Amino acid sequence: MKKGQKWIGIFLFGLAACIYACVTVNIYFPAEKVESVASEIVKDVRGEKGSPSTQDKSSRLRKRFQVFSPSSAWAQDMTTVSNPTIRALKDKLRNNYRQMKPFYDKGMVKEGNDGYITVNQTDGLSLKDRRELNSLVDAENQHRRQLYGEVARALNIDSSQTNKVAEVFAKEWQKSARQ
Amino acid sequence: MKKRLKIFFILSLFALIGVAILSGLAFYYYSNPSKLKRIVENAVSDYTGTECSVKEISFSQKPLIILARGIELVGRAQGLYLEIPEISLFISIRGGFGRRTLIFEDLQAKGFILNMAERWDLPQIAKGSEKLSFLRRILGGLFKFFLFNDIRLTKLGLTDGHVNGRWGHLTVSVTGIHANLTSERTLKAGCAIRLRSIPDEIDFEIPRLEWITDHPINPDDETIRATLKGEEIAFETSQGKVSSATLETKMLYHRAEKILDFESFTILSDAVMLQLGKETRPSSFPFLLEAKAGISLENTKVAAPFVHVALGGIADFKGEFHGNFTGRQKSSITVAELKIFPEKVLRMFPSLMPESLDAFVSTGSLYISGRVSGNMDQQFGQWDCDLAIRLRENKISFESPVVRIHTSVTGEVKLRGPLSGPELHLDTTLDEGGARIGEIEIDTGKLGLSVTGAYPAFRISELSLQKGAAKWKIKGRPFFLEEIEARTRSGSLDMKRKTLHLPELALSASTLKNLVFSVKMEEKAFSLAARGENVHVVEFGRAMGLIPRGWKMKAQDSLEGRALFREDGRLTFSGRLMVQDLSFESEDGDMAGEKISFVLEPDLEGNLEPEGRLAGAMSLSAGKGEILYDQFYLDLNKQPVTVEGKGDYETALGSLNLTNFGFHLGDLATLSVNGTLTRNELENSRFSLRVPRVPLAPIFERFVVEPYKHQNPFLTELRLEGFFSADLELSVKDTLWTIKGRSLWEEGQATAKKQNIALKGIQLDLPIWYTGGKESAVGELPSLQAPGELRGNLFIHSIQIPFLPAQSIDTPLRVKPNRFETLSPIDIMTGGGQIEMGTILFKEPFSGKLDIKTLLTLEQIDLKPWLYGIWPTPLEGTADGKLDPVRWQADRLTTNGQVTADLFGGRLVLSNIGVKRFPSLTPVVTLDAVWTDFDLALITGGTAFGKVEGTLKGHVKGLEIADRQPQAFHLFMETVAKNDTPQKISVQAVDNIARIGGGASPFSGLTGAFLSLFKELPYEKIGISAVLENDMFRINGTIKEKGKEYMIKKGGFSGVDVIIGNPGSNTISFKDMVRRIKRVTESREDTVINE
Repeated sequence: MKKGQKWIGIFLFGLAACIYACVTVNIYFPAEKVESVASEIVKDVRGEKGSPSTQDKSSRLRKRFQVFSPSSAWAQDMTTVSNPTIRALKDKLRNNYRQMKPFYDKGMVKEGNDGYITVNQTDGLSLKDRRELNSLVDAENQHRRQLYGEVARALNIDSSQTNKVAEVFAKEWQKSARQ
Repeated sequence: MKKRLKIFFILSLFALIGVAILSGLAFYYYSNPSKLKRIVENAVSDYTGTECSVKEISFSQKPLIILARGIELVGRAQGLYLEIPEISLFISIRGGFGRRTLIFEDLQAKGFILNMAERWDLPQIAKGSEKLSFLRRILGGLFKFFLFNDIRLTKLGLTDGHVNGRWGHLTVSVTGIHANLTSERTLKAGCAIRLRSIPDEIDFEIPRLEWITDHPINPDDETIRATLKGEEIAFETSQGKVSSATLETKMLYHRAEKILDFESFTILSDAVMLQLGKETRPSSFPFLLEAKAGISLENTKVAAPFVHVALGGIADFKGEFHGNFTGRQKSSITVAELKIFPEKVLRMFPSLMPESLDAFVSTGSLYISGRVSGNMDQQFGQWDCDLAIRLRENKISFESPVVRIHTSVTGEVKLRGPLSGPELHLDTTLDEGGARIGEIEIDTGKLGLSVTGAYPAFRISELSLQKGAAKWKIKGRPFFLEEIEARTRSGSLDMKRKTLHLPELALSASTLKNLVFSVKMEEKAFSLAARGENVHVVEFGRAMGLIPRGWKMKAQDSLEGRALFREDGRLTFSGRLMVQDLSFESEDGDMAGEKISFVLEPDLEGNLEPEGRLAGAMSLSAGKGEILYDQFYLDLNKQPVTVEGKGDYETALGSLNLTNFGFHLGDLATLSVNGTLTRNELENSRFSLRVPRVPLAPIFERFVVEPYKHQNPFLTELRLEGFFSADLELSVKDTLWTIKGRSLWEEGQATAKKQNIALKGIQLDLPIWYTGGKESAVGELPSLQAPGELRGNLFIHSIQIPFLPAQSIDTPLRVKPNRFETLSPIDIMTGGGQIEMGTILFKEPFSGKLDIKTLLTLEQIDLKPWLYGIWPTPLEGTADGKLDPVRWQADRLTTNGQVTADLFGGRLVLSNIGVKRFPSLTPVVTLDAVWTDFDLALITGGTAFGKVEGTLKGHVKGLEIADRQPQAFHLFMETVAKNDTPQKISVQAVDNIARIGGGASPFSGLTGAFLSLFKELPYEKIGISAVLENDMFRINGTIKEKGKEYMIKKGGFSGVDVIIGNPGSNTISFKDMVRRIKRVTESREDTVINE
């Protein structure tokens, strides 16, 4: 092999390596869609639109098998991404929020940047009430964790990006808390 | 003749007779020298008290020379032997009568030897009686008148003299003794001296000692001035060595006053080496003694107004000495200034400072001044002293790899009284001090000490520490104790009895306040008592790292304690710590307490020896306040906590034995602990944990319902009754631990009224056998490898749950490490059949890896009660099947197998039945279903949907049901033409299917109006598929012909086709679909039929 050919070979190999190295794998994350969904869900939970779901008055047997006779609870839902799990979780969150509202009003609950809440300060709160608050915070975070997972699944977002979903939600939760 | 003349005459006569006699005697002895020798021998013998013998005496007249040979003096009583081989004496008598002088013109003695025995004493010179007889006085007067009344020495020669003596082990040898009085009347003498004591290791030698007068000596001189010189002086003892020393002194003797003045007195050596014990420091130092002194020989007084002693760089003394060797007058040493360099002193005396303290450094000196006085016949220790020892910012430091100490000492020690035990007053201040011991750094701040008293007893009038500080690290984390202040104004120290007593030592620091100690140290015991109010235990605990960083905590406290340490290592300790209004909060807020009051009382007794044992008891009682741990809340006012028990610690084994250690949580529960905790790798730590029978409901309410009711609201519905007890054994080896025993739930009930659940008469005997620790080592656990199992039982007298008749369960349980199982299948009776649940195996029940496995067998289950209320018309049907296994793992229930139901005249097969996120608030039921030969008439008959006749087959895949609603599915169903089954559909059903499909009513228009005259219409096939995904519902027809998608294909002339208008976009939200279905199922209005 001539010397010139050798250098051309090296150049081509290097070029190929650079091209290969430049290939990146992008996992699609529909940020705008998630923001929209988050905004809808947060507004719904925080009672900024619509009203809380009504209780199903059906018999217990009926409740168990409403798969064949759907209740009207979800039928009123206007969220763009929804399924029974999300609706149920929203119910739980809505109910939780109602109980935590006094704590929110006193600034005792802090909306984190990760989509979850923490106890901020508990001045003037008895330990018994703090236990109540801790329990509510735990329940809230547990529900939120499931919600983020369900939203990600509904939007065909890889489960590894659930944290991103949570962070998008965090902004909406914080926005709602400021209002 | 007058009387006076007569007397003169008589006296003159006697004088003549005397002269005649003397002349006669003189002539006689001159003629007979042998007679003279005897007289001399006798005279000397009588005069000295010795036996004197002279071998030969000879003399000549002109010149008058006396020669004596072989002179011996033996003083047996005095232990004396003197031998002078030869003395020659050249004498003359000069002067007129009455003023005659005997002159020794030349006295020469050669080679005398003086031997002295131990009892040696000077010869006792015989003294005449105080009153001489008249005759002797007459003779004496005549002697002085005619012969001589004065003696003078003109020339003296003394050579080669030896003196030898021995006193005990001490031998004295003076050799080369010589003296020479020259014709110029200067006297020069010299000798060599050696003193030795072999047992005492003393060797003193002056090889050359010379004494010379500085001027001619005249008998009439008032003074004699001389110089004494010694060279190459050597002195060696076991304590030290002096070599090459020189001595020089200028002396002035005042004859009249008999005073010997040392105008200068100097001893100088360049090489003094001190030695103490067997250790020898090779370094040497110079020595200088300078003095000016006067000695009164008459009064035996010494006055040295200037004394200067310099021991190299070790010590320097300047002062005076006044000595009285007789009488009652005191002698004194005035110390103008004695400067001692302690570091060098210590280095000169190895036994005072071991080599391990070689790193000891002391700069500065001890300055001593004052006076010491006493009688010379007293021992020096009985002399009185009035001394002051001063230290001026003396820097003291010591540094080793482990310890570093430094301080600056300023102070004064005053000594008054006898030297052997003077009254002492010590007043010192240690400043800028610090120490580092390993990881601990101490700043001693300013330390003051005032002590008065006489050895051995001293009173401590002030002991104070200001601005001390301590800093240390544990696992890299720094800890501080600052602003340490300590003070006591009373105390005692007895150095003989080795006791120290500080009755009240107040101590405070930045984090420890108001503490008063009482320290009592005796020869065989040391006791320490402490008490204090508002001691700030919390701050101290924080400084000690006992309180996690970031925790907020405050409290009021008081404590008292007493510890006694004995010489034999025994220790007794008792204490009481009372804390009130304790409030704390962890950094993350998970743990908090408010207004807690508790009393802690530890008692300890035992031996601190390596093989010792400490036994103790402690009690902790917390009866006020509240505690919160995450979601667990405890009101101590209602549920006081007490902990009490006994224990002992065996030092050699490193094991802690607990006896009846009880933890009482009000009336909720009690935990009793017995056992051993050991550090020994060969021994197991083993505890028995016992929870006596207690009602379960309060515990369940407090520790399960209250904390978790928001996460799981069902808990608020659930009521647990009965009694709980447990008897467990916990063993730990290294990091591996095993807990084994059994727990009982007796007379139990579990009810949830809203859910119609009631389990009554529960008797659960649940063995527990769990092992944990390093996963890699679990396989080596003896308990895991050990054969055997524990047996228990579960009996529930009555189980009431929906869809099932009341029934009981009785099943034995078997427990092995980290798993337990029911031993027999459980038959669950249903209304019309039986469900058999196989043995249930629980793996890893106490970890996050819980795995439950069983199987279910369904036999002839009557579906009627299950479907009652769901289906608008009563249904008949049975179900059979086997789900094997049924498994729960990682919050997911899965099954393998299928359930077959005979229903609607056909068969329904359910498979892949499972539940995701179970248990949680949003479980999702999943399953697949396939059905065949469903009789549509049975399904639709009597419903608002409208009657359809025919046979239906289909399936639903991936059905998910959440919150009692379908969440996803893929549905497919088609009618199957059968000869014996008509295929008809009511007009109402056609209309409803069309509405559900999203189209307009097919019965509008003229044709529709015509068709609506029929109640039923034939069809060829009905086919529908639907997908629900993400809340979007898409419905399609399954019959596709000529580009059209039919949901219903008409069967004849009068039939109706229901076609999907926009097959590609027939997607609506599921809620709209439900609205359609609801309208269909609830609407009763007549259908309008069009073409």
